[in-house]
Amino acid sequence: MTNLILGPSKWRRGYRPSLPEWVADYLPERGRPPKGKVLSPLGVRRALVGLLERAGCDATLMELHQRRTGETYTGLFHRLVRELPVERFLLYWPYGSQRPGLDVELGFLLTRLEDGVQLDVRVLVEAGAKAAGKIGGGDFVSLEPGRRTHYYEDLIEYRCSVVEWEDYPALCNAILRHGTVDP
Amino acid sequence: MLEPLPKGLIATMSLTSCESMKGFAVEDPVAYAFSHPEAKRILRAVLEKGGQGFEEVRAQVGIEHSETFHRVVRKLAQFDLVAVRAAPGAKFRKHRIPMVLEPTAKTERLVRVLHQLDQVVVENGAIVGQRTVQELAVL
Repeated sequence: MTNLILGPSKWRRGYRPSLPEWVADYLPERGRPPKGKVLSPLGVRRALVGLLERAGCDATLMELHQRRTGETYTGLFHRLVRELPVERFLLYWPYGSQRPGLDVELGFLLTRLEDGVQLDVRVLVEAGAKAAGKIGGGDFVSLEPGRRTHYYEDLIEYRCSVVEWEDYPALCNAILRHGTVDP
Repeated sequence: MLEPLPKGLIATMSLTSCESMKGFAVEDPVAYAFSHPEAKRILRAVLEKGGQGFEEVRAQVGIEHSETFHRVVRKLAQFDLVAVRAAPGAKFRKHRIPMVLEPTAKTERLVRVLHQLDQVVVENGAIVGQRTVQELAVL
């Protein structure tokens, strides 16, 4: 079973989170940023792939695969889901990211969910001091209104499970548990 | 005969792989669930009756402080022992949506495996010794 880690690729202009430097240790050596440079959300997702691989689990990102001749990005996404096959989608939702391209990928999942296809999608939302969303009083509250979060919210309405993480150790622990195979 | 352990539940999180993780402490869901009385009570409530809201479960397990309850639920969700999902049919209103707690496939499997282990221990009491703590009594 392969996990596809979805999420944004860039931080919002002017925003840089305080990311622990060890996260980059899970990247292949050639992909590590220079010292002192903050990893992009894409870099974090690559590191999460590295973490899962170290734990013996299969994980990938769409960005790690090349398009075949004549293949569109849409075609690439669907081919990966079909051929790997992808059985679990882990959505990394940090505070303060740009996500226009991600909306398209979420749209592929939402279309299938709308058609009644059972998909295993887990929404991992940053819920620490800087929170993209949080549970309070038994409700999930989306905390970046006006920042095009409707499609994340749609996933939650389709009853995809929500996992809050307050810092990167918590995110890594959650990824290890959610990226492993259910029998 | 014991069922094979689900991949990643215990086996891939063995001490060897924990030690090779850099930068953070790999936490053990089984140890957490069994060493944390509130976690055990929440797991039991969710396993017995899934689909309840946060406040219903909190009232059922008798945890006074909602923050304490939420902290434990968050940890159980990170461990994939409890699924936090929108209430069936619920819609976002002003960016809020009510959530419910449900058992995961992993929880059910874990409890089944632990009960089987427990049974083996009981059946072999003469060899392994009588237990003084009934860790599984609550699940």
